[in-house]
Amino acid sequence: MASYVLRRLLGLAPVLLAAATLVWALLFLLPGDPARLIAGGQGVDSEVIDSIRAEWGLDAPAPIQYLRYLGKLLRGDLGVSYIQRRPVTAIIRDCFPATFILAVAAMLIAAGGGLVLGALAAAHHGRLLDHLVLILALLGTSTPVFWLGLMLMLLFASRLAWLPVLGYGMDGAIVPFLGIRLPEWDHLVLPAVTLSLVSLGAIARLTRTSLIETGSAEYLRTAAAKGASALRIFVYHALKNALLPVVTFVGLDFAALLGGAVATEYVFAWPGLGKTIVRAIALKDLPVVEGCVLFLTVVFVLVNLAVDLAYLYLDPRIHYGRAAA
Amino acid sequence: MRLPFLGARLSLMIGALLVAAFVLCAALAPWLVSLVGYGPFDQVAPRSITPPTPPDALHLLGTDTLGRDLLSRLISGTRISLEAGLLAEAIALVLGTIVGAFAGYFGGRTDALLMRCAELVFAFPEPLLALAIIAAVPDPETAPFLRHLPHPSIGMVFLVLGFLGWAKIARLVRGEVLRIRAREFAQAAQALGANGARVVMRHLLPNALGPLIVAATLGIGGNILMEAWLSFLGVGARPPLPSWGTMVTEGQAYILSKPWVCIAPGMAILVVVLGFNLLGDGIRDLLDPRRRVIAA
Repeated sequence: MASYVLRRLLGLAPVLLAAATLVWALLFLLPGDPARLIAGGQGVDSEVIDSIRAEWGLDAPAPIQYLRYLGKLLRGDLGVSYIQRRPVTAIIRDCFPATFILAVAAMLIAAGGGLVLGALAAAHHGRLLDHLVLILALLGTSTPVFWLGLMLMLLFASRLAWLPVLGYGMDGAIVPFLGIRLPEWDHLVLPAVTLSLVSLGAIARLTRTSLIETGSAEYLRTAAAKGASALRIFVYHALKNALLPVVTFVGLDFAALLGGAVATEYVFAWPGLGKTIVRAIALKDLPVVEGCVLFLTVVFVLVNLAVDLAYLYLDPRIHYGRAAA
Repeated sequence: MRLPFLGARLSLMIGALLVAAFVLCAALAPWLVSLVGYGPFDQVAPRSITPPTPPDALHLLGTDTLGRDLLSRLISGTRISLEAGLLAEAIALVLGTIVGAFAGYFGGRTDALLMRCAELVFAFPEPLLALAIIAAVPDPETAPFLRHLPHPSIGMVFLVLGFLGWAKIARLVRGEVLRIRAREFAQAAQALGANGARVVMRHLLPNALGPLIVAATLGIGGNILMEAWLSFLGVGARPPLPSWGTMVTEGQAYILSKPWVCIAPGMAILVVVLGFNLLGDGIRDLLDPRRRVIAA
């Protein structure tokens, strides 16, 4: 077990190096002079451009610049925003909590709702409820998340006026020690539900299929016939069996969740990394774009590692100790 | 996934119908636009009213923020979606099939190396990677290769999506090639002295066609969704191109007061992607009878 974890951690190195190399190439190798971007446009003196080049170390040969960039990354330095003139790491530190809260809330809704709906569909296999869950899953994978957000906003925030239209809310509690401001809960509802709906249907479908495939839908029915309450059936019988596909899905679909989060944040003016990335793209603030993407790639890689490790606990049939011989 | 209550192959048919309607619409777009009577770039709303104007008899879906007819733009948008979805998948298919066939057929070190590369691609969150790459390219309209394409900004999108999509196809083809290579007819062909290229082209790939078609159909739908997402975020299609994603962005500011500008293009994306998903799942169920038991 320990050796497996160690091996996996070492296996991260080439991935992270590839990510860093790609980001560097995107920042400095593509046509389009970074010095000119920093200077802010076309009609700038060539002397000014030269001085910027010297100041930002852009006059060195490419391999030297690359090694310097890697060195900075190792020290946790993602560069400086062309526009805000602030370290990218500081921008990420400010924006990441909002994204994290949104993603966790969406994942909780998706996993909770998906498990319940999937178990219900399996228990009602072939009947109306089953079909409705399947349709929901199909719609979930076909709907553009940014449009879904706008439609929910139109319905629940404007027409019904149950929830605020957008934003984070400025009166949320502050987490002690960390100094992170929480969103007001009613501001969180619409973005989190929007982001969750994409995964919710797919999780419901996976749960349903795995319950039916393992024949466990029968024991759910048996438990129901013996008079167990729906809650008891769900917690004691369905949940444990269904967690595996859900964990798989989190690993498979975390990339889509990140993409969805970018669009959701943009739609709801949620002050997270996604909104920061979109705004930075519009301003051609490349270090912010690439820094945030690099950071999220690392998060993605770590989540996938965590998913693989979670298998060890959830599925006793899997042993990673020996190499697949 | 097949919808059981629709009967055995009805979801496949619905998917095929939706996709056929979409492709037909794209093929006949100029003619359909001429039927509508307004070009996708013409500002046709009456000067006396500030656009967007609501749907009426003259403009069935209303007009957008610049007073352009939404129906006409929607119809023209089918070409953008189809171009991005189809060409991206074509690139992914060609690259992925070559890599997958090489890896599966030769095995050993070639296989290990190629699959390591594929794993590297899987290690990245694909949508964000596409976003990061496209955002870094200065301007597709003047970029050397893209400049000559009819829509340089869409060219950028399908190139990036295609070059990121090969890994999925390669993994699929490799698995199929490994599976089929062990079968008697492939062994026999090899024993009879057929060379590697012939075995791969005549015996291995044709038998892998089914799963490939399923993957490609679902892939086109995914690419269309991705193009819309990129265009919505402002890195895909450049205005004034009538990409459905761009159209949603343009209507975003008016969502609460004049929602029709957003509703129609989003609906179009949903229906088309739904069509590809139904079709892909339908073909899969058709090819693999085991799945039907669970679906029904």
